[in-house]
This record gives sequence, structure tokens and C-alpha cells, in this order.
Amino acid sequence: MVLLTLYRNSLLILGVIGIAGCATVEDKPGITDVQAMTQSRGIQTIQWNRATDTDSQVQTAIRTMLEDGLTVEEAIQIALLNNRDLRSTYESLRISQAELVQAGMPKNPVIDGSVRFVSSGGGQILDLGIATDFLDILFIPVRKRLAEQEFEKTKRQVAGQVLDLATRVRTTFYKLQAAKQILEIQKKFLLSYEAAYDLSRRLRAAGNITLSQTARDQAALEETKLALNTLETEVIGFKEELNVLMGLYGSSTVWETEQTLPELPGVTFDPQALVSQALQQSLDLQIARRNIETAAIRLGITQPMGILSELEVGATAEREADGLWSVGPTLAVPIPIISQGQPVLAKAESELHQALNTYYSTAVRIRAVVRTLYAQLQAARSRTTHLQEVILPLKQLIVEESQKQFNAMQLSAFDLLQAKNDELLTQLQQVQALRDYWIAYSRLQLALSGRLVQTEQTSTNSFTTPTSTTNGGH
Amino acid sequence: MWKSLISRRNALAGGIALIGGTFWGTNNPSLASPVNARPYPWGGSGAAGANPNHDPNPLPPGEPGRDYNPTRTPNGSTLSYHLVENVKVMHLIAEEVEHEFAPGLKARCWGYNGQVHGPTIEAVEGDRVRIYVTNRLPAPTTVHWHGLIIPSGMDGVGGLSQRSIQPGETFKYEFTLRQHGTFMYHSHHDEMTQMAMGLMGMFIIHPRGVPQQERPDRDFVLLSSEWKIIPGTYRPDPNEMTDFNVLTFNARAFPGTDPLVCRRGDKVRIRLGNLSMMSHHSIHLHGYHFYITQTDGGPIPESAQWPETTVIVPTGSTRTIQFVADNPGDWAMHCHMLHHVMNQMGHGLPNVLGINPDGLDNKVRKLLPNYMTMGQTGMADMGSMGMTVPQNSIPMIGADGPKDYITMGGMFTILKVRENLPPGQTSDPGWYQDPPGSVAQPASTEDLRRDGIRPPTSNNSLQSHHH
Repeated sequence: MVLLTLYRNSLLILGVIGIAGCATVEDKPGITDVQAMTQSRGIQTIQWNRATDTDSQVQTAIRTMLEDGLTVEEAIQIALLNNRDLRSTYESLRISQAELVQAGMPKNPVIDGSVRFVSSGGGQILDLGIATDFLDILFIPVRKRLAEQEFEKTKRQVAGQVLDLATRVRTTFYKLQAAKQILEIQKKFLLSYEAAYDLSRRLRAAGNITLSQTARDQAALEETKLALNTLETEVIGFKEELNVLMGLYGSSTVWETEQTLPELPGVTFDPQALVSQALQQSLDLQIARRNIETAAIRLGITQPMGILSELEVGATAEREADGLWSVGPTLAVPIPIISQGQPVLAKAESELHQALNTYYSTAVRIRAVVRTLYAQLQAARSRTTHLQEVILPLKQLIVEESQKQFNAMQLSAFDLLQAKNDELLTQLQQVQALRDYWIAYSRLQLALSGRLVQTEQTSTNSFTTPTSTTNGGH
Repeated sequence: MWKSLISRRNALAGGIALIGGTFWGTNNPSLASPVNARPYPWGGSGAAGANPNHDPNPLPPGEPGRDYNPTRTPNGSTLSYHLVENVKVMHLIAEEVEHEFAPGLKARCWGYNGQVHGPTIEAVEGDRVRIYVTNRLPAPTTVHWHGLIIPSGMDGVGGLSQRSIQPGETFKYEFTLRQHGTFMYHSHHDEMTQMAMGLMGMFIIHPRGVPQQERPDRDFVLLSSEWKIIPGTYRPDPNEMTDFNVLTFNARAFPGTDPLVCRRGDKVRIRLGNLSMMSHHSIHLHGYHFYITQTDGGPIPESAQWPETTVIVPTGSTRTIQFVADNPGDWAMHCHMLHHVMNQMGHGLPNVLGINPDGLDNKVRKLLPNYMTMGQTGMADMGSMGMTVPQNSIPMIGADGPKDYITMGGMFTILKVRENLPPGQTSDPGWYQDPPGSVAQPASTEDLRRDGIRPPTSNNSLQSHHH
């Protein structure tokens, strides 16, 4: 713990030094690379605003975007510009680059650098510290290589967080749109139950039905009001979640979304290409690869890329259908250039194996996640289509025919309203299915952009619907 | 007995010759009849003295015109026959028929010879008849000759009297008619299904030797039945037990019923049969009173007949009424069981009578743009509102009449008695032209003032308020 604190403090110091004028620490290091990574993954522009003048420009742009109906792309843009957690993430680029600069200099303080060589550990550190102190100059190239790896990892982590944020905005935005649509449908339910109760009261006033029948209709209405209340709260919840993601507070929180969820897109994914695309683009795998390189450098293996090229071929060329997972190459660990003693060596060797295993497990998980998301996407698509093209027209036909039966005095107004309620329920299910489609779509896009997402079962019915859609038994 | 309403009261003023006073029929002992059909004090078949397993000897076939005036079955027909060695040979074909109950309502029913109900069988007491029955239904069937005294093996009860007629088979029924009167025929195999589908008809047997002046001028045959046809469907539902929604004369519901057309002064007989699934009918005739002269058990002695305006016809029986059509006009004749004069009425609805609909429609129309509150003042407008109703369904009540909308359906028909009708005309002569001053009219201010009638200026006082 002490060491860790020391580590952090030293980094802080290094950072301060860098800012103070050390020529090699850039103002916004690595951001161009990150931009290139995110741009190739569908994020148009990201900005790292550190100065106040650009900040005010950004604020103006955000206000403009918030003025009329907010689109999902605008919401993402605002989040990328204004989310303070993301800005803080950008700073890690600077920290990482500062470390890289520092790695090229003789150690001061000595112990810090050596601690990071083997990562924070036990009692060896003191010995190591002494050794490195002595041999410090020899380690400078290795330290630099390691810091380079860290910087590359950091760039990818930052790019990944940009993608994560965009996806969170996207899914939350869709949830909000869906919740608002469902709220509108629920208002129609309310109209229906109000009409039923209104009729019921009139029947009661005319002396035609019992008090219990009217009471039943009123109870159904009151329950519908509660359901509406829950939905309204849900809409507020999603909106506030977006405020957090977009970094909005105060008067900026007054905004409205575009009205409805987008229709199902015509384009579909090619399931054959999905897995290899996700693997090729995977930032997570690239990070895992850097971890392998780092471990190899620490062990003194000069050509870690030899192992890695083999790994990458294995990962990216994997065919989907064969169902077999390669176990991975057995590493013959070469003798390190400089022996730092057997315990340290054993540890570094295990770290290399750990990194390799992580690489493989990440690749396995990416495949499974992509397949799961694709299955969810397809399920949501066919559910939406079936509801939209088959079930909803049927429900509408039932309403039309019920109207005729009502006209012929074969059905009561309550029966007719019930038929309408059934149609509304299908409309509601359709919105839910479309929402689930867009959530799966967003997550799959994220996976294809090279970012591992945790799959979760998208709920088909997370919204409160009336406990009973049946009008009173008349 | 022919009895004239007007002539009895004011024969001279009415200028109508008094006809009747003579009970015509088999209680005339002079008629040649194979058996005496006069009711026995203790009942019985009237077959006493004959071997019950054998028919009496037939008489030569009776001829229309010579021996009887043919009946008329409104909306129906009479079964033709041909003679083979003095036997009247007829053929009934049981089959599926698309039948129209009234304009706008058709259903796939079961009938005979392409019609529903089957054609009226008409013969003369003493005739030998041979009736072939071909089954073109998808199910076995039989024909029972309802009310006829015939050998047990000809009675048509599936399994009891005979083996049922399988699809594709033709059976032969043959017997001698030993009685006269109004009878019926119907399936007696899976009756509930087959009669719900319409397999029935009337069987008229005329007495022999009735002089022309004692025969009816107009002899109508009406068979009542009831059906369950859910609006928007195309087949009667035989499972129904109580909620029948199409009530018919000769399988037609008003406005699908043909009028009973008479010339003023005609001797009119109406033979009412009832083969409804579950209902009796009390048939009420406007403008007249009549005498019930026969049941399907035989003629009622004159001393036992009494005047009526309504005759109850239990299911499974016939009633024959007679009167002289001496009162011109368009006279309603209908079942007085009031749900029997409704068409396809729904019975599972809340009672909306008397509700205040103000503002309700606009509220509901936000969800259902075509919604309109109905029934709050009754159902009289149902037929004339022109609202979209399910395919193959008819408004609950009515048709356009000469003076307004007629808010009746089902078992409703019109007796049209006309002064100047060419003899033998049976087609609809149109609406009655009332003599001037003989139609109820809106009261004039003058009339009201003269008679001291002060109608309330607003009908608000009639509305009750519930809170």
C-alpha cells in the first residue's frame, strides 16, 4: 500500500514535471491515435479540451444540439465532448506518455522505476532496488520499451472507453425513447379505462348496473393510473442517466428526444463475418497482446512478436463453424539476459503465461459474446417484424370487426374497448421488441468495434403494464 | 266454420254475405273416409278396427281443383308428384342448401330439394303415397311423418322404426293417408343437429269431397322454426339451447317474409306448424279474430272452438285458424313473444337504456373513431342507422314501411287484404292505400286546443335523475 501510494505520487510528480516544461511530454499525447482508432470504429470526432476557450465553444455547440429534438448521434456527441469521466480518461494518455518520457531518463527516485518493473510485490523490492540502482543505465532501453507498451495499451483503453460511452449513451437513449413511447401507449390505456369507467358510472346513474360493477371499473382505472405513474418515473430515470452521461446539469437538462425509435433497418449483419471482424478490431485483444509483450520484455525475450504473430493468426483466422478452440502454443521460455534471481524469474514467467491465457480467454469470450448478441439481435428483429406485420394487423382487424359487432349490438362498449386494449398491448410489445433490437444492435456494434461487452438478457418486458387489461365483467 | 268479423256484427251494413255456419271437414259423416278421424273421447289413433300393421285400402288419388284447393306456402313451394298405378310418387332429397333468411343473411343449412325448409307435401285423405328419400347429407338421416297415423315401420324414427338412411342411400316410404289435417315431416335422426339445420317441412292432407263453397279461398301454410346464427358466421349453430337469434316463418325472417295476400271476402285458412328447437309461439293476427279449427290431432268440434286473436302453437304441433278476410288493410301477423320478432339480437350486453351519453362519444372516439353510444333510448333505430355491421348479418329489427320504419323482425309477416284483387293473385299488391282520414296523424294545434290537451313543452320532466 505504501509502495502503491509512492508510485502514484511519483507519477503525479512526473506529470507535474512534464507540464512544467520537460520538452518531451506533449499537451495532448496520443489523442490522434485514439481518434484514428475511434474514427475507424464509427465515432466521428472526439475532442480533448483542456483549455477554457475551446470549452466555451463546446458549451455553445452543446446548447445548440440541445435546443431542438435531440438525436441519438447528438447525444453521443455531447457525451464525448462533455462527459467529465471521459475527459479524465484522456488525462491517462498524458500520464502514460509522461511515464514513457520518464522511462528514458535515469531513475529518480530509483525505487519507483524498479517497483514497476516487476509490478508491486513483496520483499524482493528492496533487493531489486539496490540492483537496479546499480544497473540502472542498462535498463533504460527495456524500461522505454515497457513504457511504450503501456502507452499503446492506454491509447486502446481510452479508445475503448470512448466506444463504451457512446454505446451507453446509445442504449440509454433508445431506452428513453422506448419508455416515452410506452408512456404514450399507457396514456391511451388510461383513456380506455377512463371511458370504461365513465360509461360504467352512467350505467350506474341510470340504475342499470350494480355498485360492485362500477367499483370494479373504477378499480381498473385507478390501477392504470399507478402503472402510468411508474412509467413516468422510468422515463425520468433514463433521462437522468443520459444527463449523467452527457455531463449536463442545471438549465442544460431541459431537452427533449426525437419522438420515436427508428424503424427496423433494412441492412443486416453478415453472421459469417461478424466474429472475425470483432476479433480483428478487438481493442481488448490488442491490449492483451501488449500485456504479453510486456511480460516477455520483462523476461528478456527479445522477439515476443514471434509468439504473438502465431497467436494473432490463431485468433483472427479462426473459422466459426469448426467448433474447436486451439489451446495455444506452448511457450519455451528463453533464458533471460539478466537473471534477477529465481523467485523473480518464476513470477515473471507466470505473468507471461497469465497474459497468454488472458489473451485466449478474451478471444473465446469475444466469439461467444458476438454470437449471443447476434442471436439477440435476430430474435428481436423477428419478434418486432412478427408483431408489426402479423399480430398488430390481426389486433386491428379484431378492433374493426368488434366495432361492427358493437354496431350490430352483439358486443358491449366494454368488449369493444377491451379489443382496443388488446391492440394497445401489442403496440406496447412492439415498442419493447424494437427497443431490444436497437439495444442488441448497439451492443453488437460495440463488439464489432472491438470492445468486449458483457452480454445480458435484454428484458422483453421490463415495463410495468396494467395488472389486468380486462374491463369489468359486464 | 267461416266467420266474418264484420258480417257477424253488422252483416247488412258491411254488405258481406254471411258465409259459414257450416263446419266443414271430416265431422261430416257423409264423407268417404277410410277411417273416422273425429276425435275419440279417449283419444287414440283413429285406426281402431284396422290392422295397425297394415294400411287401409287406398282410394283413387285426389286431384287438385277437383278434390281440393291447393295450399300456398309463402316463401316456399309444394312438392310435385306423379302417379304410378294410382300411387302418388314423390321424391325428397336431403342435402346442404345455401339459404337466405332475409336479404343480407345467408347460411349453409340442411334442407330438401334445394330449399329450406323442405317443400310442402300436399295430398288427399285416402291417397296412397310413395315417398323416396335420398340422403345427400354427410350424415345419416331419416324422415318422420309427424302426426300421421301410419304403420310403425314407416314412422321414421332412426334406430326404432327403421335403419337410418346412410349418405348416398335412397329409402322408400309408402303408406295410405287415413286422416286429413295439417301435419309435418322432419328428420328423426340426430334431431337436435338436423332440425337446427332446417330438415323439416309441412304435410297437408285435404279431406275428400268438400264442396267448393266450403273450401278455403286462401289456404296458407306457415312453419315456424328457430336458429342460432352468430352475426358474421355462415352456419346455424346446433349447440344452442336457449339463445336463438333468428326466428322464422317458413325459414324466413322479416323483412324476408312474403305477405299473405287475400281478396276482401276470401275464406282464409292459415295452417301454423311449429318445429322450433325450444320455443312455443303465440301467433297474433291484427285486424281479425279467428277460430282455431284444427290441431294436428284432428278437427276441433265446432262447439269447442272459440274466437281468438292469438293462437299458441306449441313446438311439435300444428294449429289451423280460419276467418273471412272482410277487413281490408295491411295487418301484422307475428309471434307475440317479443324476442321472436328480433333479428340476430345480442343478449349478453349491459343494459344501456336511460344512460346520459353526453360527451361520452368524444371521449371514446379518441381511441375508437367510429364509436357511437347506442341503445340509450331503445333499439328502434338499430335497423335504420346504416352503421357498418358484420358481414352476413341483418339489423336487429325492421324494414322500411309505407309510413315509417317498421321496427319488427323475425316472426313477423303481413296479411294484405285488398278490395280489388284479381282472383288468384298471390303476388304482393303493394302497401295498403288507407281511406282518407283513417291514418293516425300528428295532432293539430286546433285539435289540441279544442280538446283541452296540453302536452308538456319539454320532455325534461320525463327524465329521472339518479345521483
